[in-house]
Amino acid sequence: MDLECENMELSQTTINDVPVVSVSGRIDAATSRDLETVLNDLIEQNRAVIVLDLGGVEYVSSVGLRVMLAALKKVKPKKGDLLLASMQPFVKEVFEITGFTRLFAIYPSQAEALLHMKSH
Amino acid sequence: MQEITAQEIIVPAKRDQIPVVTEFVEALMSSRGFDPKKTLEVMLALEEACTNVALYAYDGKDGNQEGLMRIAAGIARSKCRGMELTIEDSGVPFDPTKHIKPISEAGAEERPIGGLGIHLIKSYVDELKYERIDGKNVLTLIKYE
Repeated sequence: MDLECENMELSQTTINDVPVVSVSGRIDAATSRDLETVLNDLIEQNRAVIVLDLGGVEYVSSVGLRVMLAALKKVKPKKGDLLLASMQPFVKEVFEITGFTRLFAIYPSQAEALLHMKSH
Repeated sequence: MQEITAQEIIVPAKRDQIPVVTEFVEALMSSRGFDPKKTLEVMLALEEACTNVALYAYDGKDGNQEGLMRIAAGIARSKCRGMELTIEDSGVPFDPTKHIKPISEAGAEERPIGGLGIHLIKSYVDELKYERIDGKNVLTLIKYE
């Protein structure tokens, strides 16, 4: 599935039975609802472990952070996780400033996030 | 800071208008040759400030048709060049600089969703000032080049 709006693109695939959502562009006040919809749909389909590849994301605001935290809060009680991969430096910095690096499992690449899933 | 250029935009105080505002400022900064990373930082601070206005200034409801926000952007020059942004609204008095709380140490389950915007504003601008002038909230953000 592909979703495209002015400043963000979302694509979704499944690798080794793990849903991988890849985002590029900006996760901001205008686009975060699309990301929220995709994550909520997966969670409603009982997909508790999700990889979110942020490799193409150059910008994330607090609205986007809230969407990710809300999804993490939903999957944690189901023994799931929201694994983040491939953050660009500015996005990583925003996570550090807000203390979000402590909340999420963050991997340098999508492949490493998926490898972590395999080892469990 | 002495302003040498100023432009303004007035939009409804709604979240769906925020990209209009950030793109306006991005275009201005880009045309004046600002560093792309600093431009992103200013856009983030601006988005967070405008989100607060959209959510809380007018009746606490996003989408109040009567409420407006005015954003003035000036390339300013004093000892060093900088970007000065003022965000004005006529809503309820609210000083965001008084609402800076420590970042929660709680884990994901207990972590409150919210309170992050003002941290990001403070982190990404060099000066942050709030004034209540003639019934308006006036928030000034300055970022040096």
